[in-house]
Amino acid sequence: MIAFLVAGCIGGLEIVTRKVLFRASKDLSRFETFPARATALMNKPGPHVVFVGNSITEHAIDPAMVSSDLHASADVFTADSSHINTWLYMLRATFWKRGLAPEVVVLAYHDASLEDGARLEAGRLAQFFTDRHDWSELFDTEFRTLDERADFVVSSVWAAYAVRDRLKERLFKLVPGYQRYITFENDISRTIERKRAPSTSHSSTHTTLKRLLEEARRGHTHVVIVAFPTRSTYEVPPEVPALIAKDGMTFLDLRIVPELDHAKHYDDDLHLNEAGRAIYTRLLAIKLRDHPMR
Amino acid sequence: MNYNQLQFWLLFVALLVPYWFLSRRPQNALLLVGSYVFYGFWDYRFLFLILLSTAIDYIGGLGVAGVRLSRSRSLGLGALVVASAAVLVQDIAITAVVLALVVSYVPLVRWLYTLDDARRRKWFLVISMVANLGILGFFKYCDFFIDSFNDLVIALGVTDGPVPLLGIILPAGISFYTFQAMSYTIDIYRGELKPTESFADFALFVCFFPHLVAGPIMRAHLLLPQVLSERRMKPGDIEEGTLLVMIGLFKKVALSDNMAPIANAVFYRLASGDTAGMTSVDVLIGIYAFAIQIYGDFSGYSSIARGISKWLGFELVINFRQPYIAVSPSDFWKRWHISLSSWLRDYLYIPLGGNRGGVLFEYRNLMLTMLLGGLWHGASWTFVAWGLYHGAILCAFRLAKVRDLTPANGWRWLVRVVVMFHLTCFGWLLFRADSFETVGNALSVLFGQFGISELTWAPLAMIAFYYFALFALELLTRGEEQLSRLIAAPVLVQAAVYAYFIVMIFLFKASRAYEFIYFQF
Repeated sequence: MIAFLVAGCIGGLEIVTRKVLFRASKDLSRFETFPARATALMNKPGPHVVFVGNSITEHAIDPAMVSSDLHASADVFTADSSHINTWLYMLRATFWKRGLAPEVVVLAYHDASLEDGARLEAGRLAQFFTDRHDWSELFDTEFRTLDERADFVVSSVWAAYAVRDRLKERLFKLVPGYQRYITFENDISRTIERKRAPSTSHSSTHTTLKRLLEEARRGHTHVVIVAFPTRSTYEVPPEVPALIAKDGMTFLDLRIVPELDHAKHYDDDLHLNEAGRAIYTRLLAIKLRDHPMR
Repeated sequence: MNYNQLQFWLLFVALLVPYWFLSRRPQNALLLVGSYVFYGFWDYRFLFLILLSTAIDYIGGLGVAGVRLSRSRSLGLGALVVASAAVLVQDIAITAVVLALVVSYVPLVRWLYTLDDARRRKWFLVISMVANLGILGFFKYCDFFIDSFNDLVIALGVTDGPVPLLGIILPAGISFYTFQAMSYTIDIYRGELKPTESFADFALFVCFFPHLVAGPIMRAHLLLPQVLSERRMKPGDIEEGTLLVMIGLFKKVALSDNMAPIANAVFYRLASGDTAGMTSVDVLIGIYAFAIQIYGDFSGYSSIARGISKWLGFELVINFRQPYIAVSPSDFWKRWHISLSSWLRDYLYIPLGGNRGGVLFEYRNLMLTMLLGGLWHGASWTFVAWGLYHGAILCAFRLAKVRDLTPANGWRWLVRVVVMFHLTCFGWLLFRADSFETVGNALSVLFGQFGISELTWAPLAMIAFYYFALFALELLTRGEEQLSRLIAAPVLVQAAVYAYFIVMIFLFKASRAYEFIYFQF
């Protein structure tokens, strides 16, 4: 009887999570629309241009402008704070696994987003972008410890568990100043971590990027990787453009865009405002016309 | 591998499934192997150290009781110790030293048995104590004393090259199993216990995995009889064990690990001197968070240890009884880490003279006991200060003849609880701070920068959210003493409690799992 009641409570929470929380979250509700939007996009006349990335891409791309400038059908698929490891599975689940092959995929990144080992939100990946067939690959590449693997498997069957951090955040956001406090606390935690394990110079690897490029090539999709213009500069390891070129794909180094004014065209260090978005989208459309859409 | 890792639970299930189909001897063998596997996951080399301690106390116990070990068993034991050094440590020099010690110990033991009863008992006890404290002292305090010596020499103006530190790794749980093993020989010496002749049973007593690395410290007269007798699952053991495990996991993964970043943020700022903009309330919140973190961490471990022991048919002592409703320092030590405080009382404070011999002697004994209690926690002057501070407030309360109050005393009891909680918190400041400079910074903010900041409310709300439900539950069940009240509660109440713990353990666990704090002790 007790077990039945406990299961009922957990089941109720699961329903609330799926029906209420998923819809209340901008990020999660967006993922649920991905399959339908991908199908709709591919049903439009080609060529088809897909922008995949994180909030940088979301703020920076106006798909309507791209469509009119390139005479193509375009759409944007983003996940907040995502990196190459999420983008691979987003593309696979939304397009390639479903037999959809957009002609061009544009990935805008900054800093270390293309490197292996970038932070991965396991719950989001488990719930929206992967299925059982991806598990062995993920266990080889992303989730190597028993605890990480178990966490991922539980996340894929239990939505409330998968999005527990968001649940927690929604609850505590009711407290004034929570967001500011948690940012402050995280900053200090990161500083402590860095002091405990000072970063040694290590050579970054890009195996996930390689897998994405190979898969795109097999799916007849041309990938354009864009080094995005942010206020602060970052390095592009020389092997990255070489790796991209090797697979016949395109690398666009847009780290410095003279037309973008740091004071006028940015909301913060990373995200463009409306005016910046128009400038960047137009510039990117021109570059795309010159390269893959040629 | 530990309670907050899946690996542990998989191994535990693998052990539990055959366990209840076996009779006592194979059960003990299974538990012994399981215990060594469990410890070996941390660092298998230190299994040698456990085996060495076990062998020393096993021989010591028999020697004190005057029981002779047969020649073949002596040889077997010696061979086991040397072989474990060779296989586990894989260092020829260490193996050679161990071999030399074993070879020289054989004639020594033979000679000890030729002594009269009183001298033989005394010498076996002394050898056992020196060996145990020697191992503990070397691994835990050697570098601390070298470092302190270097500081002293520099303070005296000698600037020659300092004595290099040895960089010794502290074996997990060494303070716990050493104290436990010592209690065995002492109890036999006092005539309170008979030694066991089975080395395997004694080895299981020393390394019984549920409490091996962080207690509770089980006294030989409580645990050894359980090792030696048939196990039976009593009615309610499964339910109580399950509740204890759930409460323990909640305390660790939801309560303690969520308090850790709050405390860390405050103490990091205090340690780095970045106190601009900090207020007294911020510092208080950091200390409160640490008070709850360490309680959740340590009592959580004890609860899980007790829970899984119940599933295995063992009863471990209650280690915590709502310490934060203590009304005096002596009341606090009857509620906090009870197995250590009672160990210190019975094996240190009372042998020192206890409260006999006048007030001054009593205070001296209290201060010495608490000083060593502080040092037991870690090799650092802040732990020494923490121990001395607790000694001082114990003396102060005795000097002022402050009487303990009960909830029946109403608001006076409540005021005393609040006062004692804050006295305890000052102790936690000493305990958590990495230096006296940090303590100084905390005090200067605490008494010089009054007010609240915009960063005050969120951590306060988090503390309330994670702690108060547990606090209420512990009031209802008197900590772990009356869990049966919960088991006898209406089905809906029980379901709500279980659901609460499941939700908190799985959905509100901290995003980062921290190591158990008491592992370092």
